[in-house]
Amino acid sequence: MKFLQNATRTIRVCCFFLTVLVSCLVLQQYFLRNVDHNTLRVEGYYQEERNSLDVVLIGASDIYTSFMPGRAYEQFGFTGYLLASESITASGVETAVKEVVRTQHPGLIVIEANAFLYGNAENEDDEAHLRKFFDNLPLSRNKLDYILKNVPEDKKAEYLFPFVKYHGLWNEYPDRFFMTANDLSLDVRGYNYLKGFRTTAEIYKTDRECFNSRIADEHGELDLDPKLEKKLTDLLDYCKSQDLNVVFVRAPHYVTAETYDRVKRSNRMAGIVKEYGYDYYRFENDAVSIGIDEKRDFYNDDHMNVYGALKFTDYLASKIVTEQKLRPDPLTDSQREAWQDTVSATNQLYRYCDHLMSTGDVRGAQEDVLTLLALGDYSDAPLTRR
Amino acid sequence: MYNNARSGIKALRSSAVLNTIAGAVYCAAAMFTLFVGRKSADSGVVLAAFFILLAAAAGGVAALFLQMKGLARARRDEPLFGTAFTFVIVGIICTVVSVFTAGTFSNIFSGVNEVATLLASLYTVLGVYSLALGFDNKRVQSAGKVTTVALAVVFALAVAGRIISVFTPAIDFALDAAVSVLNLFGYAVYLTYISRAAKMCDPGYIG
Repeated sequence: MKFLQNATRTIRVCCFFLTVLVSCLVLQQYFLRNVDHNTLRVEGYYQEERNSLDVVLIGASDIYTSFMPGRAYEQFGFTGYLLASESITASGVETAVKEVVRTQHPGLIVIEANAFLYGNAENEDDEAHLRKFFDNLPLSRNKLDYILKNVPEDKKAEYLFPFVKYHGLWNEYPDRFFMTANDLSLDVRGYNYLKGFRTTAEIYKTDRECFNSRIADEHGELDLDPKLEKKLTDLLDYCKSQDLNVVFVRAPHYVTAETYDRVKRSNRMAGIVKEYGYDYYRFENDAVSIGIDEKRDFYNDDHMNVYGALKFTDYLASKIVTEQKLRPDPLTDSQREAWQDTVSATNQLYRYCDHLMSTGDVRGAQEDVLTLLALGDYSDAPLTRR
Repeated sequence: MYNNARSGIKALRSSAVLNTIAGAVYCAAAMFTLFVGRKSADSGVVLAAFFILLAAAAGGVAALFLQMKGLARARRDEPLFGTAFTFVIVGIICTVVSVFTAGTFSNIFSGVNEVATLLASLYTVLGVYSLALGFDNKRVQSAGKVTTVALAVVFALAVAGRIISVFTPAIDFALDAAVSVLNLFGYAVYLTYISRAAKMCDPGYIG
C-alpha cells in the first residue's frame, strides 16, 4: 500500500512540474515573445522538410526583399528559402550557414554581403538585430556555441530562454493577439507560403542623386572593418573546411553619396572572397545592366520593391542555374503541390503590391494573416515582366 | 470478486499482444517496401505491401479500442484504471492535433502525447498492483514495483537521449536508435507485466 501511495504522489508531483514546464514553453513560444516577420521567416525555415531545398539564401533585408523563391521555382525549377533577418550580424550569418549545414545540405548557399560591409562593427553588438535572428532559432549546438562565445554572462539565460527577457509582455495584451495569431497560423499550416520574402508596397520618391548608373566601372576599394573582416575570413575558412558550395552576392541598392563607401567596401570584399576561390556577384554595381530602374524599382535607399525584386530574382536565378550549374533535386508530388501554392502566393503578392502602389497606399506585405487574406482577391496567373 | 477488473485486464493483454503483432507486421512491411518494393517494378508487390501496411495500421487501431474497452471495464473495480483511461483519451487528442499541425505546435502536442502514454501505462500498472494487493499476490506486487520503476527510468533515459542528440548532431542517428531500443525494452517490460497480471486473473490461478 505504501508503494502505491508513494508512486501516485511522485507521479502527481512530476505532472505538476511538467505542466508548469509545458505552460512556460507554450507562453515562450506563442504569447510572451516578440513575433514579427523575422520570426515567421526563421521558423518557416525549420518547417521545411530536411534536405528538401536546392538553395538557401542567407543575409539581411537586402536579400529577403529582393529574391522571390516562388518566382525562381516557377521560372527556373529550383526550390529556395530565405534564412534571413533584419540587419543580421556577421555572427548571425556564420550561425545561419552552420544551421543550413545541419538541416538542409542544399546544392548552393547564397550569402548576401551586407553584414560585412558596415563602416564599423557596432551592428555585431546591436541587441535588437541580434535578437531578431537568435531569439527565433531553435536551441541547437550552433545557437549554444554562439551564446557561450559571444553573449555576456548576465544575458546568457535570456538568450537561452527568451521567456526570461519577454515575460513582461503579458500587459501588452490584447494588442499582441494579432502577432500571436500570425505565429499560430504558421504552425498550424505547417509551411511558409512566401519562403521568407517580404516587401513594402511603395515607389521610392526622393530628390537625392542616384549613383547607380556610374558605379559599374567603380573598382576603388575601402578596407572592411577589421572585426568584420575577421568574421568574414572565419566564415570562408568554415565554408572551405566543410567543402560547401557557396556564392556571395551584393544586391542592388539606390546608391547615394552617403552610401557610396559601401560600394568600395563591397569591391574589397569581392577580392577577399575570390582569394578563397568563391564567386562574388557585385549586382549593386550592375543594377542598371540588370534593368533595375532607379525611379520605379526601389521603396527606399536599401530595398527594392516587387518590381525590382522580380527583375533581380530572374537575373540571380538565371546565374544560379547557368553559372553555378545548380541541378534541382526531383520533388515528390506533395512537395510539388506545396511549391505550386508558393508560386500562386508569390504571384498574388506581386499583384497585391502592384495594386497598392497604383493607389499610393503604402503597406508592408509579408507572411502574416492579414496579407495572406488580402491575397485571395488577386490572380495567381504567371507574371509577365513589363 | 473483481470480475470487471479480471475481464478488463484480459482485454488489456489482448490489446498489448495485438499491438505487438501489428507493430511487428508494420515494421516488416515498411522494411520490405523500403528495400524490395522500390526496386521492384511489379505493381502487385507494391500493392501487397500497401495492404499489409493498411492491415497493420488497422490492427493498431483495434488494439487501441481494446485497450480503452479493457480500461473502461476495469475502472469499475479500481479507479486507477479510470485515470489510465483518461490519459489514453488525452493521448489520442494530442496525436490528432500533432498530426494535423506542424512546427513547435505539433512538437508540443507530440511531447504531451508521449507523457500521456507513459502515464496511461503507469496507472495501468499501478491499477494491477492495487488488485494484486487485494489478491495478496506477492509476485505480481513485486513485479509491479519493478515495472513502474523500469517504465519511469526508460522514459527519463529516452528524454535525456533526445536532449543530448540536439547538441550532438554527429551521433544523433545512433542516439535515436538507442532511444528506440529503450522504448522497445520498456514496452516488453509492460507487456510481460500485463501478461502476468492476466494470468493472475485466471480462475483457479495459484500465485
